[in-house]
Amino acid sequence: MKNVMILSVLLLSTSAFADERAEIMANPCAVCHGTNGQVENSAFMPLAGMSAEAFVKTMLDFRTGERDSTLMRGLALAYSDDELAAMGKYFESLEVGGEQ
Amino acid sequence: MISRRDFLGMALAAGAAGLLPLNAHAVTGKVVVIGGGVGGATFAKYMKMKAPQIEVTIIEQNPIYIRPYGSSEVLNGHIDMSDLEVSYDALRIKYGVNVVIDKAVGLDADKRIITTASGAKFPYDRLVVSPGIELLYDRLEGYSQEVAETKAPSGWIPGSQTALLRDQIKNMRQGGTFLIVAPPNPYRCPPGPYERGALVAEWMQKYNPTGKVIITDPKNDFVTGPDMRLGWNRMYGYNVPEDLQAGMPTLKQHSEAGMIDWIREVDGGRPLSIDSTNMQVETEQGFIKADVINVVPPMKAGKIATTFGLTDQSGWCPVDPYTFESKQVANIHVLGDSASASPLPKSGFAANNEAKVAAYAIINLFAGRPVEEPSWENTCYALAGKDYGFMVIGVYGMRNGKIANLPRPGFQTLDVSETKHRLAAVYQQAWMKSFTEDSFA
Repeated sequence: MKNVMILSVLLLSTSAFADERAEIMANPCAVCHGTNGQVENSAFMPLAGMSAEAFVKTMLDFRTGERDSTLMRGLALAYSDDELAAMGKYFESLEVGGEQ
Repeated sequence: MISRRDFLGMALAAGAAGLLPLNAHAVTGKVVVIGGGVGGATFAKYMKMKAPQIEVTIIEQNPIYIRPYGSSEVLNGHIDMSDLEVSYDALRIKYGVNVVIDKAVGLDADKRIITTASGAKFPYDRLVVSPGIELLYDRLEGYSQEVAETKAPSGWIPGSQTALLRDQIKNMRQGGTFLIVAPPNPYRCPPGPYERGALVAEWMQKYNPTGKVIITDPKNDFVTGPDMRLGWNRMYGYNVPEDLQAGMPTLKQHSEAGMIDWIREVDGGRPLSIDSTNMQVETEQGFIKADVINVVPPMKAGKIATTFGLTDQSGWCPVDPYTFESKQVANIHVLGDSASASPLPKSGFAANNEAKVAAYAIINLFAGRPVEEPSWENTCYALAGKDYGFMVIGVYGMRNGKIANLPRPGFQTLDVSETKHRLAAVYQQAWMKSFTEDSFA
C-alpha cells in the first residue's frame, strides 16, 4: 500500500520543476502574501490553499491585462507558464490557516 | 490530500532519498548569523522553519531592531520613532532562534569560531554575515559622524539622527530651506532620498508653505526617477528638465519656482564640502545655504564585513549568487546591502529574498546535495505623497551563471490613473506590515 502511494505521489509531482525549486520561486511572494501564503492583511490576498488552477488563471489574466493590477502584471510577465504552474501547485499544497 | 511533510517522510522510508526531495528535517549543523536586520532575521526564520534541528544563533548589538525602510515617514510625523521598532521575540519564541545581544569582534576562519565583545565564543559550521551598511561620513569634506549627530543628520541608519532631523524640520523657520545631499551609487534604498524630499515637501505644504526642499546630487538620475519627477511636478511645483520629459504624460508648467528643486550632476549638483557652522554646502555649481541639512553620505558594506576580510576594493562583498557564500572566505555567507549581488538592489526586499535563497542553499550544503536554482524579486513601493505611490517591479533569475533581470516592465506606465497611485500608497502601507512579518515574525 505504502509503495503504491509513493509511486502515485511521484507521478503527481512529475512536473517541469522540483518541489524545492517551486518553493524557492514562491518564497518572494511571501513578502506581501505572507509566510507560507498566510497573511492577515486586507490589502493582499492570502495564497495558501488556493487551487493551482485559480492561481495560474489569475496570473495569466494579470499578464494579458484581462485583470487589472498595479504590479502583478510585471511579475506575471517574468515567469513562464510552467513556472506559474509549479508555483500554483506549491500554494495549493499549503494548508489554509496552517503555520505561518 | 497528502501533505508535503508526509510525502518527505515516506520518501525517506522508501530509501530513495538521493532521487527524492530533501528531508530537511534530518539535516544537522550549526549556523551563526551576525546582524539581526532583514537579511539575518529572515535567514534565521526560514532556516528554522525548514530545518528546525539546525542550531541558529543571531549575534546582534541592539536588543530591538529599528527598521530603516519607511523611516522617512517619521520626518513628516506620519509615524513615531517607536513605530520603527521591531522585536526579536518571535524569532526566539516561535522559531527557537538563539538571539544573543552582543557584538561580534573576532573571527577564526580556520577553526570557524566567532568571538564577541563580552568574550563569548560561538563555533559554527556556516557563518552568515548581514551587517547592513557603514556610512562614510568623512568622504564629504567638513562632514563627520559628530556633525551628523549634532548638526546635519544623515538618518540613513535610523536612530537618534532620524529624531534629530525630524525635530530640525519641525522647528525650521517659515520659508526655510531643507537641503538633502544625495549619495553616489550604489547605496541602500535607491528611491529613498527622493521620497524623503517629497514627504517633507508634502508636510511643508501644510506647516511651512513658503519652505523649500533642495536635493543636490552627484548623479543624473535614480531608480523610480520618471515616476517621482511626475509626482513632484503634479504636487510640488517641480518643472521636469526638458531632456527628461520624453515619454512623460502632459506635465504642468509652473511659472514660479516650486517647492522642490533637484540639482543634477550635469547642473553642478555634485557636493564638494559642508560648512555646518554657517549651514551651507558647496557644490560644483556654487554654495547652497540651508536651514536644515540632511547628508546621505557614500556607503560601503557594514564594518564587520571589512574587518573579516569579506570586502573587495569596491567596499562591498563579492558572493556566489547560488549560495551567497563569500568569494573571499570559505564557509561565510554575506547577505543584504553588504553583498555585491547586482542587479539585485540594496533593498530590504532583496535582503529578505537573498536570505531565503541562502537558507535553502545551506541546508543542501549540509546535506551534501547540489543547491537548487535560485530566484529573487524586488517589489518595492515608494511615495511622492501620503496618497501617491508607485513601485519598482523586479524579477531575477540565473542566466549564464549570473544574476539577470528577467524581461518585464520594471515600473507601471506613467499614464496610470490617480486611483492607481492611491492604491499603490495603500499597498505601500500594507507592505510595511506584511514585509516586517515575513522577515521577523
